[in-house]
Amino acid sequence: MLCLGLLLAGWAWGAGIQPKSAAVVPDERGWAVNAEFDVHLGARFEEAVSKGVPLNFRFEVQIKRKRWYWIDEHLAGRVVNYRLSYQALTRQYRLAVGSLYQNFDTLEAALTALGHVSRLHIADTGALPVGEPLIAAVRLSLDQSQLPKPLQVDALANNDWQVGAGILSWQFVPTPEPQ
Amino acid sequence: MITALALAAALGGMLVILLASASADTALFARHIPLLIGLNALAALLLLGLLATQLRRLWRDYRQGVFGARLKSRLLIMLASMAVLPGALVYAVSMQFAVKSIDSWFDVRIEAALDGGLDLARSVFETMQADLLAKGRSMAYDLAEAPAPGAVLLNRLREQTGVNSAALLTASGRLVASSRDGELQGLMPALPDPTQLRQARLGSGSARVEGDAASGFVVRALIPVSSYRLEAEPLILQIEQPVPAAIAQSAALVEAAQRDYQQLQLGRAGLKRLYTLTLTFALLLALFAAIALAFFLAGRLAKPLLMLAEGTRAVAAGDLTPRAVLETDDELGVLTRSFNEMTQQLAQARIEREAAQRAAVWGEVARRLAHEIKNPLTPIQLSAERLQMKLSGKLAAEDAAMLKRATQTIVDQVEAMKAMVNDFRDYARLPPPKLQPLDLNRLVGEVLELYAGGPVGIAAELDPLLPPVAADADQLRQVLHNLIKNASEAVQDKVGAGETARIAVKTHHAGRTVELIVTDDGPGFPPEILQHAFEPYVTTKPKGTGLGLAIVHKIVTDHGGSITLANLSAAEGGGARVCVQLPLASAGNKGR
Repeated sequence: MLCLGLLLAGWAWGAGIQPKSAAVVPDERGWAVNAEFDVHLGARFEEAVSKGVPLNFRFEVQIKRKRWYWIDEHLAGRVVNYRLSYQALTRQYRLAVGSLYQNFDTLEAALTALGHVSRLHIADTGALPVGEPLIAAVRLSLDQSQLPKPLQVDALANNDWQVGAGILSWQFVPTPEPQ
Repeated sequence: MITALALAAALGGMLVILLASASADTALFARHIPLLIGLNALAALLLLGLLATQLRRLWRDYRQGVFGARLKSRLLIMLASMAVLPGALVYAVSMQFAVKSIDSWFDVRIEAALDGGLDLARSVFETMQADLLAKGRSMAYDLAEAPAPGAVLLNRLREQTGVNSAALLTASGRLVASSRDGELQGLMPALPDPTQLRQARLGSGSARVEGDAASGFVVRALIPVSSYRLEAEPLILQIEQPVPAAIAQSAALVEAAQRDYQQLQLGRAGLKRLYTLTLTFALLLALFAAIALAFFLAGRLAKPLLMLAEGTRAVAAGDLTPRAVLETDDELGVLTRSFNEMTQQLAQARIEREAAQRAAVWGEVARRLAHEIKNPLTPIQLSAERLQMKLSGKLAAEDAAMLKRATQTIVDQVEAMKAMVNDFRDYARLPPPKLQPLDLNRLVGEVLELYAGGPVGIAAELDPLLPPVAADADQLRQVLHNLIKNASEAVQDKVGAGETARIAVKTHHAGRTVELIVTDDGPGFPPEILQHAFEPYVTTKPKGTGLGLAIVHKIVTDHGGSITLANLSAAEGGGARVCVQLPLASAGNKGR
């Protein structure tokens, strides 16, 4: 059942969010996704975070069925918004999803947690056709449009403010539930 | 083209307003700043492109010397500079102002004060952490001494140290005993995660501040309870103490202020750029719109002038047809209208001149013809008379009668021919009038007396207050004779048919002229005659030279007067109406 994505061309240097691996796995309600990302913000964004600028990230997953005669059919998908901020008073980094949050002592720890998506439910049982090849794609990206305006304008002219986000896309075949 | 420019300018204006409101602190468009900037740049480029095409077209016209291009260019430059110069000034001042005021927000001392405030808050928290850790260590020491540390001991120790909440945990995180102050009693305390537990077990204890400004800050300490008894399970003590609300609030305020300040400083360059971009786009779009407007206005201003110039060129080339008139009530409209009047007067003058030339030519022809024809007439007449005289006695009575008829015909026809030739001569030889003040009424009276007792009654309606006219009495008498003769001939058919006919002669004073009007109730002028009645040899009569009205016209125009012909409407009784206008003697008119 396990269908692992392949590591795309790594870009270790500089800023960027690169997917390392991803898989669609069965969970108790149907289907979930696991994904690992390498998150490098780059000096500019690290400075911005440490100065209290909250960063918004967006994790997207999509499952489609290929159709030769028309655009691909969308079967399932999910978007999760993360918010990374720095609490200067307690010197802690906070990663929040909605009203839930987790604190980290270092930025690295927070970014590692951010890049680790585990058992995120994406589709109920029966939503994915068993035995058919499907296309799955994941991406974690920094939402530039929610940056403060001056930084957005700065980002227009400055390459340091760009954080690339790679898409990992792979084919898999859902197998019947083991139970 | 102008419409496209106006549309693009309006679009650009809207975009600039959006960008400006996004640059201010409205959240509506703040998310789409890059999009707005892009759209603005696009609008500016669009306008620039449209203007460039217009300018290139104008430049091409200018180079090719297209009529009006120079005037248009000059007007355009004037109008555009009127917009560009103040625009550039306002731009420079606002730019300076915006950048300076952004810089003035930042101050090293403010930054240091905010950093210091944050450090102060942190050190308060650190003091509280150290304090709690010390309390915890003392509690842990007492707990380690006890044979079976439980809830009772924990509660006593907690109350002794004055800690808000205390809990005893196993190394795996299972709760052994807990004690909480006041209302919280009985509630489960927040438990540490495995990492924190492991760290606490290995070290000598740690304290940290958790929470945030919204939910309140809590100082939490984890201390290992290291019992001397080996068989005892290693325990961990967790104690908590909330940070007093006043301190928490102040600390949160300091943190927020420092964060905002740092964000501002981080975005300083971007903010300057945003203001610069917004101002620049506003300037560019305003300038382009102004130049587009200048194009439009230059076109509008140049149009009447070009119309006039076009008109003058046409007049110079001899074309006197009426031009299009600018329907505005400003000076330019007045100018074009008076120009049109001028060309109309020119056209009329030319028509008159042409008529005079034609009359002169006819006069010359008439004079020569008269001369050439008149010479043989007298010998013909004399010969005919001599024939009759010499031969009448030698012929039989029948032949003599025939001869008499034939010679009489010759003599009569020659006589008629002489009269006709005299008419020609009169027309051709008409001398310039000797203008003298003349009582027109008396002249009319004198002439009408000659017609008294004629077959047609002539009614006279004379204005008793008629001022004297400047006229040659002999020539005017001829005018009257000719007009009355024409009128009589016009009504001849009526008279012949036994109907009553009527001819009227009126005089009256009209402004600077005196009018002499002769009307009859005959058939009137045929339309084709009305146009050319004053030309020689135009006649309605079988027996006429067609010189009557031509002579009248020549005399009247030589007097500086005018003559108009018209047909009376059926309501007025029908017939013809001839109106002669003569200048007053007092007007100082000396004729031509």
